[in-house]
Order: sequence, then C-alpha cells, then structure tokens
Amino acid sequence: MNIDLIETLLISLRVALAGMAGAGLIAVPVAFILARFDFPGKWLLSAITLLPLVMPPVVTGYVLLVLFGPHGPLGSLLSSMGIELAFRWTGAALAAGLVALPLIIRPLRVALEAVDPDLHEALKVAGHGRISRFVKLDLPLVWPGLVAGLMLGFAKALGEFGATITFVANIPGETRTLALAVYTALQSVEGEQIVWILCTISILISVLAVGLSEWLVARFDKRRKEHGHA
Amino acid sequence: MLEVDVRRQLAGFKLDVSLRFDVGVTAILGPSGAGKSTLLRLISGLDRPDEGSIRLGNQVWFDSEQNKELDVRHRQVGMMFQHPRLLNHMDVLSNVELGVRDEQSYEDVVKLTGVEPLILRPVASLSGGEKQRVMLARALAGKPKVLLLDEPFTGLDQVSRRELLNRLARVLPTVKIPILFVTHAFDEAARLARHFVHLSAGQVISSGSAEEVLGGIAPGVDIERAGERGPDLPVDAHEAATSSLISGEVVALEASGLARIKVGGQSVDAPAGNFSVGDRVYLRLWARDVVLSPLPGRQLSARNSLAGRIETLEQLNNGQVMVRIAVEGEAISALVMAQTVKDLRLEQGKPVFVIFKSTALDLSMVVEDAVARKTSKSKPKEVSDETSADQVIE
Repeated sequence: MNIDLIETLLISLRVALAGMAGAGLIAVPVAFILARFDFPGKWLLSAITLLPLVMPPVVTGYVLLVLFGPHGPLGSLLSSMGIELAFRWTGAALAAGLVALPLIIRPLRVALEAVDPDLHEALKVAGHGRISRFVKLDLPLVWPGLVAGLMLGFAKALGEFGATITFVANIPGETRTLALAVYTALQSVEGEQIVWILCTISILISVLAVGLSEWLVARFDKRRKEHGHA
Repeated sequence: MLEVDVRRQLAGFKLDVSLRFDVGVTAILGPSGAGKSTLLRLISGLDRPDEGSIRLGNQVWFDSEQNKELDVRHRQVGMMFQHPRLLNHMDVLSNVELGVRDEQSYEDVVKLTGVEPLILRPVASLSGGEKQRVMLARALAGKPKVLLLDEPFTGLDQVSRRELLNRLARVLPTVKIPILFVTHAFDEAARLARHFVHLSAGQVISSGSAEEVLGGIAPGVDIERAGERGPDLPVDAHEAATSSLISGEVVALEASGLARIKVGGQSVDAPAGNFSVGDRVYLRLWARDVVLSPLPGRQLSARNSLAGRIETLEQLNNGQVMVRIAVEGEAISALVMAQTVKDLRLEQGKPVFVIFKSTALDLSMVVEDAVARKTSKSKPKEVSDETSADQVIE
C-alpha cells in the first residue's frame, strides 16, 4: 500500500481546477446562447448540455475513450497536434470538466434569463451592442450565479470517479485523484486508515469550496445593500 | 424633420400613421392602447413596422420597399420610458455615461437636467422623479437627433410630477431637435408642446395647434377614454364637439373658489382648480354653451361676458349656425339656431357679446407655471446654465 498523499492531493486540485476552468469557458457562451437566442434545435443543445448530469459516468467515460482515445477520431487528431489526453491528467480534467458543465450552465442561464429585458432595450437605444450590454448589464447581475455554478462544478469535478477511471484509468502520479485513491485504498487489506485520511481531505476541500462561494455571494450582497440596493 | 409613415398590426387594430415632426415638442395624445407607445417603439427601432418608412432628413431609418433598416443602436435616439430604466449596480454618473456616444462631454447635460447634486447618490435611494431626471440626462448625453418621451410621468406623485414638468419645460426648449412626447394628460401636453397629435385606435384623429387638436375632443369625454367607442363622435355631430381654447393669465384668486383670468384687456372668471397667480392658462369653452347678445350680460347667472366681433357665420345643415367671434385676438365659436341669427341680425363684422357660465369652462390647463417662471427669474445662475447648455446642444 503506497499512496503519496501530497501528490494525490495536487493531482486532484489540478484536475478539478483545470476541469472547472475549461467548463466555465464553455459554459458562459453556451448559457448566453441558451438564454438570449431562439433558434431551431435549441431544445437539443439544451438537452446535450444536461447529458453528462444524467448519463451513467461509466458511459460518459467510455464515450470519451472512444472519441479521444489513441485510436479515436478526435484523439488521433489532437495527438498529431501534440496533445495527449488518454491516460493523462489532462484527460482526467476533460472528464471532470464535462460532468461539471451542466452544473455551471444551469444557474448561469437562469440568472441571465432573470435580467430585465427592459434594461437591455434602454441600453440598445443608448447605442450598446451585445458585448457591451453583457459586460455592463449582465455580468454584474449574474456573477453570483456564475460563482455558485463554478463552485458546484469544482466540487463535482473533485469527486468525479466513473468517467475518469474508464477514460484515463488509475495511474499513480498521473491520473490517480483523491476519489481514485480512496478506491485503491479500499481494495487493499491494510488501507482503512488511509481511506479515513483521504475522505477527511475530500470533505475538507468540498466544505472549503462551498464555504468560499457562500462567502463571496454574501459579500456581494452586503456590498449591494451598503449601496442602498434593495 | 422626422417623417414617419408606418403601418403595424396590433392586437385588435392596426396602427396606421403618417406624420411629420419638426424641431420642437409634439405631444401625442390619446387613450391607453391607442398605439402611442408603439409608435415611439417603431421610431426608436425597438420594434419594426409591418410596412412603411421612417426618415430623419435624408437619412433612411426604415423603408420596407427598399428593404432598409437602420439598427436601433445607430439611430442616435434619446428615450425616456414610462418607468426609469437605470442600472442599480452603477452610480448616477455611470448611468448618465451609458448614454454617451463618441466620448462627447456631458457635463453641460448633468447641470442642465439638475442631476449634478445627485451624482454621488446610489441609484436605489433616488425618488421616482429623480430617477427620471437621470434618464433625461442619459438621453441627452448622447447628443440625440430625436428625443422620445414615453409618458415619463407615470407613477409619480403630484409634487414629483410638477418638478419634472418644470424641469422639462426648461430643458426641452434648449434642445433643437424633434421631440415626441406621449401622454394622456391634457395639462402636461399643453405645458410642454406647441404641436399636438390626437391618436385613437391606431389612427390620427387630428394634428396641429392646441386649438385644432385639444379643442376638438368631445365634451365631457376624458381623453383617456376618448376613442374607446371608435372615432370620438359621428361626423354629423361634429358641431356639438366644437370648442374654443381661450388663453390668459391668472391675475387673482378669490376666496369663493374662482380665479380671475386676464384675457387681453378683458377678464374671465373660471373655477380656480390648481391655479396660482401668474400662471398662463388655457380654458376650454364649448360652442353649444355660448350665448350671444348685442348687449353685455348683466344681472345674469352667467358670470362672463366678453366683447368681440363676428368673423364668420357657417350655416350647418341642421338648422343651426356656427358663429366665430374674434375676442382679444382669440377665436371663440358659438353654436346658435338659424332663427336666432335672424332675430338678432347677427352678421359679419358686427360687435357682439359672448356670454357663458364659469362652470362651462370644463377644462383648464396651465401652459406656463408661475412658480417655475419666478424660480428661473430669481436664480440668474441657473438661467446662465441654460444659456451655456443651449450653445452646446446644437
């Protein structure tokens, strides 16, 4: 039984943060499109973004393996560009980001839809285009929704197990995250103590993440109230 | 010159309007749901007409035949809405800045609109009237080519309403662009505008001067309800709906509830309403309520008797005659029976007395507020602000 705690923790944080950041970059435009545009097939896009939430993680992992594996269409394409995903921590980040995606898109879309369209009209008349209105009007109003989504996404990415082990396996020092380490420790006879340590670390990080997001949102609310915004 | 010729199908009726707006304020009056706000939305570019054209000078804003449309962002329109549309997460100054195009300066606008003392206040702490002032500043900060005011007094209490009205009465004349002011209140329209359009169920009922438009709205019919029954009145009842607007200045308020109003060299007693001494007012008098006499009315219950001269007599086809009398430069219409014309020998050029009861003056509007006039006189600094702003805004 040989599990390097520090290494596992660092891999986990790296995978979850990279997954969350990547998912955030995709989630913002997708949520924007879903909230602001009407187009044929919108329901389909909406459904696809929810899929990672409802599909069995093993299936998600298998789909990733087929698409991004060494012989998959996207995998060989990325490989020729020097990007390797299969059995690498980057692949774990992809899996983690994918399952986090719906959790970031959903609250952001709801927040964007709640922005008063009358305010958008007033800014249009004043000469503001979509991007300017997004920066000046949407972003200041929806960022608590974005932060909440990112934190949920981070927590979800941190705990991701099924898709990760299917796609990138359980390689010490590369893809063995906290969740995979707990699984490995459980397999061994004398691993009970290390399971306890790993579980405690996982819970601590999750609590910290959720606490941080609550604190940020509360601070934002307080600042708004200090400015007299009811 | 803003030229609008548009059609758009709305729930229940079709908006079909062809109008030209010159520099200055045009009030667009009409009942709720007449299509007034829709018209402004079409002009601003927020909504698209089904067909027609909108032009500002040589610039085409919309033309269905040429398939041209200028985006709302590029029309350079300033707009005030029924309710203020400010961003609560920004301060007052940033909200004004949102209106700025091409990095023009807007300090003059901040002063002119009276927003200067508010710039450090959080938006949420402003009253409704103050918020609308900020909206006005935002609208003017972009140096608009057309200003659209969509019932900006909605939801304001009397005090705020009066303040905003006075503010607009000072600011609007300094802005030399077409200004369209949508309202359903006579007094607001009379105070700010010199041109009027009466819109009902999507159609222009009348347009022109106060006398032409406000005089033609049927007796006892509140403009908010006018037009609910389709056109205001059947055409053959037009004579019953003829009225005259008499303009004058309030010179005294009596304890009995009457106001003495100077009309040229003569005077009229009218119900005092909200008048203050010094207000310039419009009074409306219906043609069917006027009595004509060769002698001044004395010892009558009717309190008012104005000396004038008959200008025209128009024979109507129901045995009645519409007599128009010049009184102190105003034209007053009187509806009398043809037999009366014979009996009194009424003819063109003949002097006559126009007699009517004070209670017949069913509508009175303050055109120029005495309080506002005095305030601007006693504060020379503000007057100079106005002049300097005048030079900056075209």
